[in-house]
Amino acid sequence: MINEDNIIKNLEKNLDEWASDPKLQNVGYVEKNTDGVITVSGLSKAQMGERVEFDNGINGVVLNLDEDYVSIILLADGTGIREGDKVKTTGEMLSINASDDLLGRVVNPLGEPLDGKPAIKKGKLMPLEHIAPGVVEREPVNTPLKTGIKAIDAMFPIGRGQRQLIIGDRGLGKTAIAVDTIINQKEFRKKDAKLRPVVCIYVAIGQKRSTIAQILGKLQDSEALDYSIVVSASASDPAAQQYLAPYAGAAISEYFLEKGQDVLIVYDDLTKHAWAYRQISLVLKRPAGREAYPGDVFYLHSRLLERAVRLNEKNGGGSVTALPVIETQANDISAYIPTNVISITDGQIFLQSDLFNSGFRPAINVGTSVSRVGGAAQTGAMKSVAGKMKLELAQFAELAAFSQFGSELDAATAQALERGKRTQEILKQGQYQPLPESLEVLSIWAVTNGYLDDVALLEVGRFERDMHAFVKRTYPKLIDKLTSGDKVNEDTAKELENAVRDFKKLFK
Amino acid sequence: MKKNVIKKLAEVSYTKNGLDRDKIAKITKKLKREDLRVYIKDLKTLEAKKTVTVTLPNDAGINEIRAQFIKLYPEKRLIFSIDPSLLTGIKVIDYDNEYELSLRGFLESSIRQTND
Repeated sequence: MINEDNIIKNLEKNLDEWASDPKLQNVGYVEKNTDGVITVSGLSKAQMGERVEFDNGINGVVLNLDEDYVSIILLADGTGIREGDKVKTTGEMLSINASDDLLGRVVNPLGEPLDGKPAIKKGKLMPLEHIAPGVVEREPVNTPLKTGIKAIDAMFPIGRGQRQLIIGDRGLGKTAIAVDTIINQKEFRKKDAKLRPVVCIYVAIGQKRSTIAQILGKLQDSEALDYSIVVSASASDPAAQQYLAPYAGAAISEYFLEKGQDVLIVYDDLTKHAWAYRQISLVLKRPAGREAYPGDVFYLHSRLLERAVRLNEKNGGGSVTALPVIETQANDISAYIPTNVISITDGQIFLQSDLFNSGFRPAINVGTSVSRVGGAAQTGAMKSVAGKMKLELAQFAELAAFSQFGSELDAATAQALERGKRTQEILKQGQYQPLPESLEVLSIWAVTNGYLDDVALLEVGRFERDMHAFVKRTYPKLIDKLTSGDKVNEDTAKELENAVRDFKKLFK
Repeated sequence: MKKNVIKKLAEVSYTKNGLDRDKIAKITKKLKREDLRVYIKDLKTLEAKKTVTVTLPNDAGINEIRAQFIKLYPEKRLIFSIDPSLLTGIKVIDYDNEYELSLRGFLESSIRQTND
């Protein structure tokens, strides 16, 4: 509602400033309009990255400053722009209106709502381009960001403030991992949660609108949209919007970071982001390098991912965790963009098509995946069970390779192989079914301590489901103990032993 | 011909502050059709840079204002125009810089702020 007092105050303020403050505008005229890139003469005072406004209200961003011309990328459809149209500078760097009102909303990279709901209230204008916090303001990753996916939480843990890449061919479940992680953050919105709640931002870059709608539906169904924001620049949106989308997401994340909150941001995906930037760069006639990408494509992603941060208490103690997604072709992680992003991030989760086709979901390749900093953020409970599992899996991989050559195996090798198969089986997890850490620890403890050795491979899934239900029902104190995150000591191990033994008596 | 050479030719087409017909005739004879187009564009830009347009809501006191502007822009050509829609105030266009101090501008910005 319009506040009359405010209107009068504004008018009075304007009137006071009127005589002393002439309106100064730097203007230019359109010379060329090529594929969403406008060449303008004049605008001698324009700055790089400044927002400019066309006569018909369309906005653009200055991306090239030449001696006589300025190149502008359009943020909307530019079919109505003609030669000779007037363009004026605004004196503002491109920014997005960020506020708590954004939670539960779908917006484009300019902050305009796309969900048909009312306009977003005016909040703080956050610049899209922003220098990442310096080393003095940061502290090492020390708090876990739980994904609810056993394989990841156990072997490639992610910490708040980390940049963990999700990489793999199309259709292997990269987005599913990201969405599962968002859904799992619901756990930390409960009053008794041990960790702070996380605001989630999902940035869709160059995706089909149907895919975005599907993800949105999933977030809604899982009640995850209440604490999430979707920034969407679909495949049909201008390349400029696709290029700006991750920066808009980062700007929104910084709004919450400034408030001392923890944020998770998913960039889905940076391959299409690089494509959009390549398209713009080629139209701008910037020199093309490897695979026709411009020379600064590394900086394009490094400056974005550097904005993921864990701030120290003095600076609010907030964090931004980034989960960039990269799509590979034929499992080739040595292509240009994948290697760039692998080198920028703090680890990667590599999904492989042959694992996916053999029924391993999530199809995580344990050998090529890594988390470089997340280990420090892992809870004592998970650390005490995950170490053994990693070792057993590594042994299993080696033995499995050797056993292909020999026909007869000794008992110890055969047992290690059987254990390995069951460990692999227990790491399988359905889509959109994240687990609390207590149940993850329970499953891993059971398999690594041989309680599944006599369970048929095909029954492992059912065994796990029933065991979770049984322990939750019969041993709630044990679940509380595991939820606390404390190391699994002798007492806890004994309780786990009793619980699993009791369950096995009932399991048929 | 290189664009910066054509730009230089456009710059030397002036004698004092005005375009020199003879120089232009000499230059245009030597230019190809493509280069001529660039040359004309450069001349237009230079002309725009050397011109200041002053818009007033009416012609009251125009001579005094003209005298003031001649002092302010001694090297530029001044064009005066009347636009009653300014209501009151003045608008000055100096190549790509537009200065406006008018009641119309005040009302427009007030409306924009209220809408925001």
